[in-house]
Amino acid sequence: MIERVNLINFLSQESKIEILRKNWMSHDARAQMAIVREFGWKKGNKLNKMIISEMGKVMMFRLINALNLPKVSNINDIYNICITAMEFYYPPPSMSYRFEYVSENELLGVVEKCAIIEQVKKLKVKDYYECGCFAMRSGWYKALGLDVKEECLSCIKDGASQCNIAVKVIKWNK
Amino acid sequence: MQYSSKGDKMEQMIYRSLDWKDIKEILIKNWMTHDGMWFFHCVARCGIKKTNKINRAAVKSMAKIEINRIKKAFGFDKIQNFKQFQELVKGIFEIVKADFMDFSFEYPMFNKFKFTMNRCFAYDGVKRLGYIEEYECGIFERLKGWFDELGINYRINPKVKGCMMNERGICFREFEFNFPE
Repeated sequence: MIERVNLINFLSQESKIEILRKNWMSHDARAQMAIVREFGWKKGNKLNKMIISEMGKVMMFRLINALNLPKVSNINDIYNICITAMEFYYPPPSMSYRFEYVSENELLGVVEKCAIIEQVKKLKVKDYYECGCFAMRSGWYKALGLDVKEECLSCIKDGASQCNIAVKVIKWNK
Repeated sequence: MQYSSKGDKMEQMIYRSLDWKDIKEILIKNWMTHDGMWFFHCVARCGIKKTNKINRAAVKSMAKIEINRIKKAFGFDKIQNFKQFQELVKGIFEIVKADFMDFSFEYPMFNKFKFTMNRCFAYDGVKRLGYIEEYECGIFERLKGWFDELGINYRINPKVKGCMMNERGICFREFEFNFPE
């Protein structure tokens, strides 16, 4: 006797989206590791940062187009688009982060939990892996037409309890 | 002024104004773009031979993780019959197929699954890069990775190493299984 089951009904849309996000990230990680196996970490890190920088631009363009968002022209705008992009692409609970207001041109990005670094630690490659998040956000800022300088003040990968990232807008998109 | 990613603020997310289909399209497009960028940068630095090897290895190992996540989400343990297989396939593509992907599948007879790429984004992209003659298909590595991980025995026909779309102007594979009747 064959039993008919309708699997699709078992899954919420949120679960389907979560699977897509995770599988995209797994594919990316496996592409980098395949490069590392062939050519070593130096090339693997270099390629990863180059690719994620370009990808960051695409990620931000697609998001702002879908949301039909206006130009970013002040600290409140950048704060909102960055937190939205984080929530869209890297939602909790696997990631935990916040932004703090510093000045009219500055934010402090705080990452309390980073799923990528947790994977890196699990694979015991933290001494070789170089974070790609700065390269990704440089792509975001390009897409937003902003000149932004970021500085890593502390990093979970290096043993800090959280990543603190100073985000300073040098030139606004007026 | 502070905004946190934790817990109860989830409902406030701006992107919730997008519906499931929009979110799915963005995520899958970005995923495929990201994959394409890896291919592009890899081929520019490592050549097409190494890139084929890296691409197929990455797809196949990703597919194993992918199908385990999907299987777990559906609450499946083992695919025991052809009907369950068909349901799983339907569920998989409900998740991983975006509108820009032009493929179809059918079950021409019991234990047979035919997958046809009507238009292939990988073929289009690799052709644009100028490497289509040497390209080795990564699309079917994903399907094979799923079936291998599910422990399903199959025969695949035809066996193609390069790009069928490039060689014959059409692209399909027939998988034959041995599920019990």
